[in-house]
Amino acid sequence: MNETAIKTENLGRDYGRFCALSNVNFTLERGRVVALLGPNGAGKTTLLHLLTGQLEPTRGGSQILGYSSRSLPDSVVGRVAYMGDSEQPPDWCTPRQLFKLQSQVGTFDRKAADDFLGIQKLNPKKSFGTFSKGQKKWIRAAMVLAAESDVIFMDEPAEGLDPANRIKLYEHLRRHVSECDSLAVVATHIINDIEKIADEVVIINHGKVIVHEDIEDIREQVREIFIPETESLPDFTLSAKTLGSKAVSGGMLFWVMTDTDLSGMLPDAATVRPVNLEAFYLSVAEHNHSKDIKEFENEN
Amino acid sequence: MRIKYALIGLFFRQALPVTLLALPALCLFVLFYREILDWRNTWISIFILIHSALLTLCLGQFRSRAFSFIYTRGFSRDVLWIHKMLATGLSVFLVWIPAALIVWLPIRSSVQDKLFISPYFPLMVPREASVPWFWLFGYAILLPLFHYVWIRRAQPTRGSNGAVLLAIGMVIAAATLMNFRWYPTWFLNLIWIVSAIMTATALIGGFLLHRTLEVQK
Repeated sequence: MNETAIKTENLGRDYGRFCALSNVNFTLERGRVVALLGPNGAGKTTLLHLLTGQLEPTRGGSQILGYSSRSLPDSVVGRVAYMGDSEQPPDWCTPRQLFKLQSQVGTFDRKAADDFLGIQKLNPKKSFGTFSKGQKKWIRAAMVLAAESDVIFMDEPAEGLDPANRIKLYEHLRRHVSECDSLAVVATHIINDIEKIADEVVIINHGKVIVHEDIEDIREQVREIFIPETESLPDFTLSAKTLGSKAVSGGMLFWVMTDTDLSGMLPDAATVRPVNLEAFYLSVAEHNHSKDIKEFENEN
Repeated sequence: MRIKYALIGLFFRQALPVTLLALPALCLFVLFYREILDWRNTWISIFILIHSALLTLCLGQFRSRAFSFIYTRGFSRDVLWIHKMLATGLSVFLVWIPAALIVWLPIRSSVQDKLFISPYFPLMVPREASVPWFWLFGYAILLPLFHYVWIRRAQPTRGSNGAVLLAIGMVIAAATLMNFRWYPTWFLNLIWIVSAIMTATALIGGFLLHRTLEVQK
C-alpha cells in the first residue's frame, strides 16, 4: 500500500529579498527512498528544514503523515526522524546517553543501535566530541536507523564516511525503509551511492524543483551518447529532447530522451548507453548545454 | 506526560557552567556578608538579575547546533518547553537551596557570631529567615520574562525587540520600587498581583510561542 507520507503545496521560503525556495509541489509515498539532489546553495537543506518544521515557510505549506509540518501532534512528531548537517549533539554526550535520550521519544531498539556502532567498533561510552567526523555521522545514523520512524530525513548522511561504510549505511537505510514501510528523503552530493538504493529523485536548482521522477523511468527514458571529437555534431544536439551535454576527454557526451528519432543521425563511432543518475543530474542541473556545444564547435 | 530525565539532563547540562559559578558566589556572599540581609539587598538583587539572564541565555540559544539537535529528536515543542522549565528550576534550586539553608540552619548566624563577633547575631536570625523567599520571588519574576524574550527572538516574524524593551522596563521598574523604604499595604498587594499577572503572562505566552519558534537561521 502506497500511503502519502509528505505533501507540499507551493512551499517557499524567503530570507529578506532572497528567495531560497519557491513553489515546491510534490507528494512522496511511504516505502520509498528519495534522493534529494542539487548544487550547493540550491535549497536542499532549506527544504529539509521546512519539512521538519524547523523553519516557517513564507509561502505555502507542507504536510507530514497528514499533519502540518509546523504543528505535528505528539503522536506523529516522534515518528519523524531527522539527521541534519548543521546540528550536532553536545560534545560531552556519549552515544549511550544519546540512545537513552532517543529511546524516550518512541520505539527505539537500543540493541540495534549498539550493533550498528559495533560495525565500526565504536565505544558507546566515549564522549561524542572525541570521535572523528565520519564516526560522528555514524553515531547519528544509528539514532535514526534504530528508531521505528515513518519518515526519515537525512542531510548528507554519508559525508565523511569511507566508501565501505557509505555502502553499509545505505544498505541499512534501505532495509529500514522496506521493513518499516517508511519514507526516507536523503539529500546528498554522493550520487553514485544513493543511486543504488533510491527509488525516485528530486533535483533542486536555484530554489526550484526541476525534476521529480522515478529513477527507473529516468533510466528508461534517457540515453547517454558519446560523440568522439573526430566527428561533427549530429543534428539532434540542440533539439528540445537533448537534456544536456558535457565536454569530456576525447569527445562530448549528450543525454537524450529515448523517444528522439536518431535514425541515420549518429556517426558510426558514436556509442549509446543507459544513463546513470549522476550523469542525468549533471545534464539537467549543472551544465549549460548550448554553451558547452559552442565550446565544442569552436575547438573543432 | 512522563518526565524524561535524559532530556532534563541535556538542558541542565547547558546551564551547568552558570550554575557552578552561581552556587559558590551566592553561598559565600550569604555566609560572609556582614550587614543584615533584607529583601532589598542590592548585591543579591544584581546577582539574581545576572544569574537569571545568564541562565536563560544558556537555555535560549535555539539556533545553536546543540539546540537544533535537541529540537529535532522527535519531542514535541510542548514537551521540550516543560523540560526546559524543569531544568531551569533545577538550576535555580541548586543555587537557592544551599544559600537558603545557610540562612535558616543558621550557619550564617554562627559564622557572623563566632568569626566576625557581629553584635546582630544570633538576634537577627528570625528577621532574616524570610529573606530567601524574596530571592525565589525574584527568580519567579525574572526567569519567565527572560525565557519569553529568547523565545520571542526566535520567532519567524519580526518585532522581537519589543520583548527586550519589556524586560528592561520591568527590571528598571523593579529597581526603582526597591529603592523606596516604605509602601502602603494596598500598594504592596498591587505589586504582588501585577507581578503574578506578568509572570503568568510570560509563562503562557512563552509556552504558546515556543510552538512556533524556528531552530534554524
